[in-house]
Amino acid sequence: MKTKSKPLIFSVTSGKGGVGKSFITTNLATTLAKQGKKVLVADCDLGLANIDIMLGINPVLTLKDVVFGTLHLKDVILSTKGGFDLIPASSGVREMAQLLFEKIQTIKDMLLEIEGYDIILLDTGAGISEVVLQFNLLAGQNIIVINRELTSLTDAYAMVKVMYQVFGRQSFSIITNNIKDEKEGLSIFKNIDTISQRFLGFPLHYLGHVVQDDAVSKAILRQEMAVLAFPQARISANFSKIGKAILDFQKA
Amino acid sequence: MPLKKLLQSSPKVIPAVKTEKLIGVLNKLAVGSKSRLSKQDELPEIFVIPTQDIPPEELKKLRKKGIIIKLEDGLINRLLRLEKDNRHLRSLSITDELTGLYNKRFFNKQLKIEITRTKRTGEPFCLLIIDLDNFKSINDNLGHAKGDEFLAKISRKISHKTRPTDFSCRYGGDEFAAILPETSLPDGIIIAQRWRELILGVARQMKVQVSSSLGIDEFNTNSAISAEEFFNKVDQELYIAKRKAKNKISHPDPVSGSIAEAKSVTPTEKDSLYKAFAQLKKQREKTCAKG
Repeated sequence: MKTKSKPLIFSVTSGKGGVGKSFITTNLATTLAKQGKKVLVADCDLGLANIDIMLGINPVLTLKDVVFGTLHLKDVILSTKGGFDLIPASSGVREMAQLLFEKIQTIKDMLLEIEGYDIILLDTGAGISEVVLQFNLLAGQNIIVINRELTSLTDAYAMVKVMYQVFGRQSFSIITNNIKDEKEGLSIFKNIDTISQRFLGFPLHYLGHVVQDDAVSKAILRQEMAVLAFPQARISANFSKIGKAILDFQKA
Repeated sequence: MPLKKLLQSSPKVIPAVKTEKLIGVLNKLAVGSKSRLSKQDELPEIFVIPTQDIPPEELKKLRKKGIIIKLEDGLINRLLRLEKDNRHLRSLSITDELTGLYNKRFFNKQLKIEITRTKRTGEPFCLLIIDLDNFKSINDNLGHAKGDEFLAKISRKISHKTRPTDFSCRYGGDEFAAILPETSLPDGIIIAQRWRELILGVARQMKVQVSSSLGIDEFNTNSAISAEEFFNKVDQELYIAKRKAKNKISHPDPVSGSIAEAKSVTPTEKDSLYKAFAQLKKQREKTCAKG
């Protein structure tokens, strides 16, 4: 018996900008695709989309044509060299960032209609705007990316707090990025986890870490996926581990 | 002491009627048949002060004011008449003549009451302001009588189709306002949609090209503004709706209010985060020194 299962929707979010959301999203999507999953990435950073730039593509149709035109999300999906499909957003369109409430609703409805994928990753914009929260709400699970900066820690906590207080969400996953080693990642996670338990009353879930690696900047410069360009690098192993954690999460 | 007995023992009494519900019961009593009273009927609660208990000089003053009633005056009937007059006067002072909805005076008072209630109970309420689009065209083309008919028709529909707890008012010529007690913004928006549909329905029925623009917002415990400021805020939403296009509802994003509320990380939380970060930094420096 074959039942059509709904795709799992994850959002990759952070609160603070520049912690590597899009980098994590694309490399994670590539990793999951390599593991045989059908993956769709939606670039939901409506103000400053950059996944297309990371992939070195220049899409003709973008989310903008869905928002301001008559197209369906399905119409703008394209396949990428990372092995996953992408709904590109357009950069530098100011009004996109201030999408009307109703428009967000339609985008959300369209996303839920899309079939044929195992996993959908939503790359949200930075900050704690309504748009970001709406996409986080749409996702079944929120992955919050943290690096070693203080503001990244406080903004991640603020994101968890807002999602909890506004929508009652109590389940969040953490990825630590751009850190020295596994130990450092774990202690960053333990710190925010303790604070969440103490003030909000629930634990966080740790997906894993991505280390600082020269391969990352090299891959970004060459507009390539780091895990494809440097499969032997430590970060590729990191992403495999995170991908496995996500699939385990799916089973649970 | 039962009313009847009290009335017998003291020929002169000063009456005061307590609840409005009582009027029905009193009516039945006035007709004279006790048997028509059902078991659920609340027995009259009339506060009577026998005049023998009042000092003579006080009594004199009261007599001058004409509020001492003799039994032979037909107490019950007089009470009923008074109460009826009172109710009539009260309803005249709070209703709009043409539409039968509440008037602006009542509305302004009720808005203040709801604000106080929200502050006390913590329950939010919504304020909805409705302005008809193109209403002038009815008056201009079909005459004022048709215009009045339109207003009366939508008002009747609205009284029937909105929740009995809502206060619907005619605020001005073709402007309406509604207070939706114990209603949060998402639910208020649904009520606003109902208003818009009702108005469209009546317009279709009367074959006129009239729609409505609506502004709505929620007042909650975080709203530190006065009734006038809140009204102006919602009026501003109405203005946005009018400017956008006709037949639109404008409201602040329901989420943004609660975000503003939750966004702030408290000083204690911040303190913990800072401490955690300091610790992480220390660990980092330690491992760096080792390496």
